[in-house]
Amino acid sequence: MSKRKAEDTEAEKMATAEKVPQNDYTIGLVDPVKDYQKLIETRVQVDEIVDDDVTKENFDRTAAAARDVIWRLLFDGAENLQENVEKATQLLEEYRGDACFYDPTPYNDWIVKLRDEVLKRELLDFWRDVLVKKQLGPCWSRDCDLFDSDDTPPLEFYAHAGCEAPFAASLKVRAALEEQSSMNQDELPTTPGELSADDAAALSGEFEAVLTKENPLEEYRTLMKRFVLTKIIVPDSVHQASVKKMATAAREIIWKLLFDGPPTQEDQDKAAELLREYKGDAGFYGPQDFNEWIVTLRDEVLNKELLDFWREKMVKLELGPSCARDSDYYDNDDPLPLDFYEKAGCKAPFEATTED
Amino acid sequence: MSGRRVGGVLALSATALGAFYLGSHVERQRGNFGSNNSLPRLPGLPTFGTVSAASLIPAQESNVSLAATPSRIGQIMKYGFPGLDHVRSHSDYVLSYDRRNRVPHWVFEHLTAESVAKNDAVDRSKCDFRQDESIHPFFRSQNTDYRRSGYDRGHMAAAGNHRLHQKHCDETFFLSNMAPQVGQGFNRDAWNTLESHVRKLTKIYSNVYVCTGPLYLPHKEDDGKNYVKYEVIGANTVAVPTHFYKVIVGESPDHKLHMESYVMPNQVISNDTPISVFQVPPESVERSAGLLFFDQLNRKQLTTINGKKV
Repeated sequence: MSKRKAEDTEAEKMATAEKVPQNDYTIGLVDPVKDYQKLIETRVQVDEIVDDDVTKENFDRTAAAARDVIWRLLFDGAENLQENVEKATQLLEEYRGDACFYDPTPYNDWIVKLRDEVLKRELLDFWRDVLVKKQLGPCWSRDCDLFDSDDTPPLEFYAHAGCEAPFAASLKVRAALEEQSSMNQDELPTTPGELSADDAAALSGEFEAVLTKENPLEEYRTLMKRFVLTKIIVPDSVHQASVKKMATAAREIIWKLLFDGPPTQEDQDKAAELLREYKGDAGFYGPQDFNEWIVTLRDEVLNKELLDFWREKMVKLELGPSCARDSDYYDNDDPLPLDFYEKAGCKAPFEATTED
Repeated sequence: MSGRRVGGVLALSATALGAFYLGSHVERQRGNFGSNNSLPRLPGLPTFGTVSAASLIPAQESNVSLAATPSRIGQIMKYGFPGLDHVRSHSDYVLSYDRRNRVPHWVFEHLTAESVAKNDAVDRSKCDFRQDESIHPFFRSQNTDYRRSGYDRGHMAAAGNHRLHQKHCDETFFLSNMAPQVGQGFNRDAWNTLESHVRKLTKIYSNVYVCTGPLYLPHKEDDGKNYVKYEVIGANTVAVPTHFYKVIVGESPDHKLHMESYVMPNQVISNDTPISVFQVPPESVERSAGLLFFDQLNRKQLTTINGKKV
């Protein structure tokens, strides 16, 4: 990088050296804006790190050249005035924009002299249509970050030859608004919210976790939302106990749905739905308990010969032990639980990972 | 092994080592930027033991310090450092610089009625925006980054807060104390109003401590997810913060403590918006900023927060 930069600057230096000597800040009368912009681009707006004093000096010299040319274009009484006024206007606008950023003070001092000369020579069109209308008076907080609303706006500058500052009206409105806002200083209350009952229960871990056969999945989700997935900070031990409580409730209701007698299709669907949801949560909160219990569930399912549930739900929906396929507790180095599924003529619904 | 071979091996390794060190020395000398790569040093973290409320502070500093003296820094940082990343101590304010974003993490100031009073010896228009040579060039913001970016060079430590001496004011114009701020309608208006408000607090409180800095707050997009999104400007990719905060503590003459905290969006704010609209609980600023403000101060010791009794 450093080398490349060095080469670039070398090349640039060469290029400018060929065209303009380093100390020449001439702005011609043919195309003054272009000459001015070139100076800014090559001497001021440089992307390398340059000493600020150098940049400032370069801008000041460019600015001085611009001021000189504007003055001559306006007051030298040379031929075809209209064209010269046009050029002066363009250069003045361009220079003022840069002055606002780099150095407003010299501009602000000089523009007063220019105005006085303009009025003295009675160039009233230029005064009205250019200086006033285009707001080319002193830089201020409207257009320059070196000023703020505590500084006095340059209203007076424009109050000549029957003109007034184009922004005078908006300043009046603003002053009125400030008057108003200082009169009604009402403040909004910001009281920290009380803990809701649910949050308090989540914080203490004291809540009832009971699921019914009616709608176990929905009930499980609601309880999780209320007492586990809270936004408040709960100590880990309490949080883990709450998760365990929910897991126990889920396991119990699944067991009931399947083994309280021959389960209906509807009960099997409900059990599978909840089992899937519970497995997902277990994969996040810690699958240890689930992985042990799911083996006992499988054995009981096969024992009770619920083969539909085994094939269509447990195998097909991959409801066996948690593994790298569904939980960030595992990674590729961990063996997949293939043998869990190899019962009653079934196979795991996924392939063994091939060793590359 | 014969003596000659040993000698040969020794000579060879000595040459290799020598060449390596000479090479690295030359590399260092040449540097990888500009003419000299020596960064002028500013006092960073005080090396004089600790800075805390316990450090001895002269009752009346009649002479204005022009360097970052331990006693002045101790005074400014009385209630603790919000963070310790890249701390720079200036003569009248302390700054922590975010090298990744090229703007401050925070600046800390201590104001009194005297330090914010109009002073004919201090002229703001004499100040120039300057790059901070104490920051490594990789992480420095420059004027060229801000020019025609559509953003102001917005002071974190305001120039108007440091009027005891011209040097204090000058030092607030380092670009390391700037962040891109929307100009009209924010930096030069609403934000300026908040700055004046903080200065006015010195009429009520004998000491005003204020911490100021940028925030990059998330917002929800159409997919329902939250993202943090902010513009970066110039060749140095200076971050444009989404919001700015000020957290303020005033010490009243009867030694009671009052806190105010504000968050303002970096956008045009209409002039008729009272600044009280932007008051937020101090904890929410801390969460978003990843910093703790006035950490040495138990919140229970505060008499009011945002004008409300605690």
